[in-house]
Amino acid sequence: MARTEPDRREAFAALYSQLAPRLYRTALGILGNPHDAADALQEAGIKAFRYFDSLHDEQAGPSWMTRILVNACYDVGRKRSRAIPTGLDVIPSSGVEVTGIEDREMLQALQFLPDDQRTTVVLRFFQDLSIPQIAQVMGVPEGTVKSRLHTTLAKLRVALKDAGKEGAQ
Amino acid sequence: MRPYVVGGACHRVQKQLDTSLSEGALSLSAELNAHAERCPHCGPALRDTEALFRRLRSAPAGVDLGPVPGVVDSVLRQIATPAAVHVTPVVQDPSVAARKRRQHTRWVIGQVAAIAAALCLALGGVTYLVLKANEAVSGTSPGQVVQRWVAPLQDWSQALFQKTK
Repeated sequence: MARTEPDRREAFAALYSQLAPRLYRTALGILGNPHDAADALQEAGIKAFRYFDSLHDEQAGPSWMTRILVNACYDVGRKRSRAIPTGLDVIPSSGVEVTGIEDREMLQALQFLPDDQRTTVVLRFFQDLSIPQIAQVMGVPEGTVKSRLHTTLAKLRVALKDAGKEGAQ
Repeated sequence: MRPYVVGGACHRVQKQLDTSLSEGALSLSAELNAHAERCPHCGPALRDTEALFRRLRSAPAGVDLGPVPGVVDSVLRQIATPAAVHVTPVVQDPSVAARKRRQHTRWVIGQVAAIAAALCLALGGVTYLVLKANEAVSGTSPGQVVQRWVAPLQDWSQALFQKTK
């Protein structure tokens, strides 16, 4: 589809602005902190614009953007893990900015999971994607998505139950 | 307390809960739901799973979306400049390409050598088995058979040696 540059920018801006809140929530679920999530959202936006011409089917826009975002999250996560401590004092972060105490516990519990398991759960519950959509975004068979979901949710159920017991004591 | 019966209500509730973990969605029939409510085994498992799903679904709603407009503005500003518009062509360094080619060639040679070695071993094993079978039938030992096979070669080399002498 031949588009003029202003049309292309406008179409991208519309898609990106519409999806940004959802993408930010997803990035926050995967990365666990608002600064990295904002970085990933920005990186994904610029990368998506560069390759916007490769998106031929507009219906596939959300999945396509999500896939780019997930890769951007992994990149940001890798950069963060490679960061060299400077020895300077860092102001302690308030962590994930969520309202309820329960939500903070949930997001913290997610951070203990391996990347692929965490991403699967975040896509299922934060983006409300179906199993086939998650399989498409992550480039794995549906069976793999199901088994990852099962393993992860079973782990989370135990972790949150234990956390609840500790909280009650 | 009633015992756990395979195919019974407890078993079916457990199966449904397992499926719900794979699907990320909980759906229990009214009958199983009623059972789980009064069963001391299924009740807690059902409540834990329901609580997990409820918390997972409600977690994104509590996220502060404050940084989003700023990020969107920044991205839209950046894409307005021509530098961000064009895709940088990926130019591969020739030395990297040559190294990759060498690595690939080495890998292919390694694979061929491994396959050849495996074939030689297999062929040797099969020959030995055939010779052993032959020994059982005819009483000729594998060594004698091999000697018979190499005899013409021995004669030929001896003749050649004599001629050269």
